[in-house]
Amino acid sequence: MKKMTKIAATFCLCAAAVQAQAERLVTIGPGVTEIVYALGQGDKIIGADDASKTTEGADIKKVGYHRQLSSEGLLSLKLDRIIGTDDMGPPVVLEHLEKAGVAVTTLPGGYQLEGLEARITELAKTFASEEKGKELWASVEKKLNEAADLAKAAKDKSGKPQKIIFMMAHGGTPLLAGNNTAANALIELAGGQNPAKVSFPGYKPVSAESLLTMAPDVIVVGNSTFNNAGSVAGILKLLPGIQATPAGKNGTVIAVDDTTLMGGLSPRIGDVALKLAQDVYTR
Amino acid sequence: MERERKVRLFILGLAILLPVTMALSIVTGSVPVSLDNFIGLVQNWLGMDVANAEEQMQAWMVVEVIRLPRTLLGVIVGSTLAACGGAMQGLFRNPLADPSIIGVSSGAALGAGVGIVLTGMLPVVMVATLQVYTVPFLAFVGGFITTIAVYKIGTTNNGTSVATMLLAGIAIGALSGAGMGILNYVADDTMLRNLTFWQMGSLGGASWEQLVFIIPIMLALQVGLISHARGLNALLLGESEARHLGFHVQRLKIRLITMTALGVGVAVSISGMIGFVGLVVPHLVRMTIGPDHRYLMPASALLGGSLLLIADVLARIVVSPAELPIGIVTALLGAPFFMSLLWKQRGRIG
Amino acid sequence: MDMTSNNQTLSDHLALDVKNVTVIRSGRKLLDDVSFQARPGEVVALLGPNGAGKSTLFRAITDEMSPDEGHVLLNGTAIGDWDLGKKALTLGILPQSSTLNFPFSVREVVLLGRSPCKSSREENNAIVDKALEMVDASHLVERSYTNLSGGEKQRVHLARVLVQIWDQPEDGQRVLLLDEPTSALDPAHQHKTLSIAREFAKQNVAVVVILHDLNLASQYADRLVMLCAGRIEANGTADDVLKPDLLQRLLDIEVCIMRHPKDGYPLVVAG
Repeated sequence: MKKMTKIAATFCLCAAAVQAQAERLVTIGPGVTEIVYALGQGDKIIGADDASKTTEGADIKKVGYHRQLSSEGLLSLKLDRIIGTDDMGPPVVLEHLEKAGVAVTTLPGGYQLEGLEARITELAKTFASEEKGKELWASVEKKLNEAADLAKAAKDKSGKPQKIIFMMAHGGTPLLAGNNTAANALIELAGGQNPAKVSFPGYKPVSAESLLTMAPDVIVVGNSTFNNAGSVAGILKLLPGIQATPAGKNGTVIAVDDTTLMGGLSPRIGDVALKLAQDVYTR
Repeated sequence: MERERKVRLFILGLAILLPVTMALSIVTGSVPVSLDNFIGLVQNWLGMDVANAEEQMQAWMVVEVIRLPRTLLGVIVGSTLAACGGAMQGLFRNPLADPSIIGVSSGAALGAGVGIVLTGMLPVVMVATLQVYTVPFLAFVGGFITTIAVYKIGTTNNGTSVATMLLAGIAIGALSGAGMGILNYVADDTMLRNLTFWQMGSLGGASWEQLVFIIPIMLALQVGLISHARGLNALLLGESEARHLGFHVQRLKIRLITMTALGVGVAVSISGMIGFVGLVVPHLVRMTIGPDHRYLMPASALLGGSLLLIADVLARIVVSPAELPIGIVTALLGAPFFMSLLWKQRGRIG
Repeated sequence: MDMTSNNQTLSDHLALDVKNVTVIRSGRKLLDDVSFQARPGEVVALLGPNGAGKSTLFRAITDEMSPDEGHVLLNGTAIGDWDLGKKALTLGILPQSSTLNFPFSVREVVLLGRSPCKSSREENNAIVDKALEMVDASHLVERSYTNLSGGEKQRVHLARVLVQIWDQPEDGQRVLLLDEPTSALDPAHQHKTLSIAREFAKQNVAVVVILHDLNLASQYADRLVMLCAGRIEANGTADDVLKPDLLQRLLDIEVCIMRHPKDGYPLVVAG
């Protein structure tokens, strides 16, 4: 393999020389892709994973599922840098890319707000546009603060936080968002309390009876789930027993833009959380 | 002796097909590689000076680091799965038996599942590195333990009853299924997707470090299996008949079971679940040249290697620059083909 | 293993010696103190009603079931002490039925019988041809085994067992053990099969054949051994064994005994 390192080293030099021109980027994960767009670097993207939303009509190749990337498929795009969170892989593909002189930028993942801040800061540093990064984070924070204020005012008035659950149904049994999900983060950012958080991590099916004990005040669904069900009445028919919960009795079903929840929190989380808070507390 | 000529011709054909598919696998991919690149690469290996070496770097890198190991992994995994399938079908005297029947596959799947979930519970930074080693190892251990367990259950003083063993395999398969079900519940979202993708298999993880380790093991296993061809032939008559013919049936069975469990376990642990190869390749060979294991085993190994490479080439180019899990390709390629063969042969297969 | 056994003087003329074999399974005596011998050159027919213990005895002789008491000697050496390869050259066993369901050609199936032998390919092929001719299956040689009729399959397996003990081994006498070899055969092939047994006996092979047809046994066997409820009830020539009162008692049938008009052996006629 010694000869190979020599080759790779030479190749790195070439890559560095090319970098002076427009850097060719592949972004992995909708959260990452959105930050790159928000930082004004979207025109450098030449490839993205299947889940990422990219500019319509732009020549951007789909490179597959973020955990099952293909070394050669990526190399054929002649990319200079690949950016993703720490769940992109498999690791051997990243090794191949590094050997071929591609810069691999791995950002912290996770569904916490800190992760989002770290991703924005690090990406801004990568693109040498720290100012823009700070602005972006500040705008997210501002909206989140507004949402928190709304929630606090409501709590002061009623004396307890709102119980909010997030439900996902794409045919089959509906799943509830537990701990360690973007949906849980959204609920908490909107000042709500997720009764499913203590029960389980991830998205799990839940029985009608345990739904009753959770007694949610608000049911949040993604736009896609809402459109599938067709109406609030449709959502309330997804599981027997929903109608007997406080949310079911009052028909408090709120649809949110769920594209912001896929692949880690996106920078639009501020907007979505604020919108949710407004829907919950000013109904 | 019509059949013997046919056998020789068939094996010769397969021996030509394998290098052809290997060449195809090396020249095919998303990154264009020309003949000039190959010549340059060979010159570079030989230490000669190459004109415009820089331009050729990426093509070389793709061939040397990605395609060559991937091709070799495809050959070795495909041939091992096919040879193990052939041996199991002989052992169980059922042309439709396959590794999953005696529980190797489901045991390996459970092992891998446990690996994914256990490592998934560790802090995020450690997961990626740990899974690389833990998951394949536990898959192998799972497959091996299951096989031994099934064998122990199925064996009495009077020898191993194949029927009991098959039933034990089914029971253990159900148990593994339940284990997987529990894992599915415990696992979070990312672990789940990992489980699913591992179960579909890929040759994308090939590396030279791995190959140096795996190729000798797999080759030795294949040679070992082929060297038991006469015993397998006798076993087809029935266990008592094989003993009457002078074979140490108990010893023979233990060896065959150990070797197939090891072969399938190692193959599955490196490339995930790649179905159909172990079941259909020996079957196709048998339909062409008959069940004599002295020819069936080497022919299956050759065809298995070629077939898996063809499947992998398709997996790489169909949705490029992404790629399909190879298990989907083998199933899509094999299942309809297999069904059509069954249709033609119906009534003739026991 | 010492092939020139210690009790040579006593057993060298006994190819197969079943000595006081008792088999108990689940508290039932399947075989009760069973003894009988087969000498080289002799055809012994083993008779008995269903459930008499014939299959158990067969499995005790083939070492698939170990007796609780007594033992089975092959050329003077206990059956379990034999080297498997050497035993295969001495003892040929044709089970009642085979589970083979792989599309071997008939030649390949019969060649499997040669696997313990050290002869060359050409020799093996020649022996296979001869054996197939003996069992009247030469025309099937290139056919696929799975496409044969039940009777054809039975003859092919007989040929396979014949080629296995085709050659005289270095020491000891060969034993051919046939379990109902005529069950799936038409009358012509039933006689053909038992003639083959006689021919092998002529070459000093001891033949033990399990039969249901008393007249076939009378015509072809030197000695008839009658097994009933796990015990040997009669052991002797056809004239000794085929007697109306004995058959009435053991087989529960009314019979008359007649003589074959040409060859004079006893014939059993029901009624």
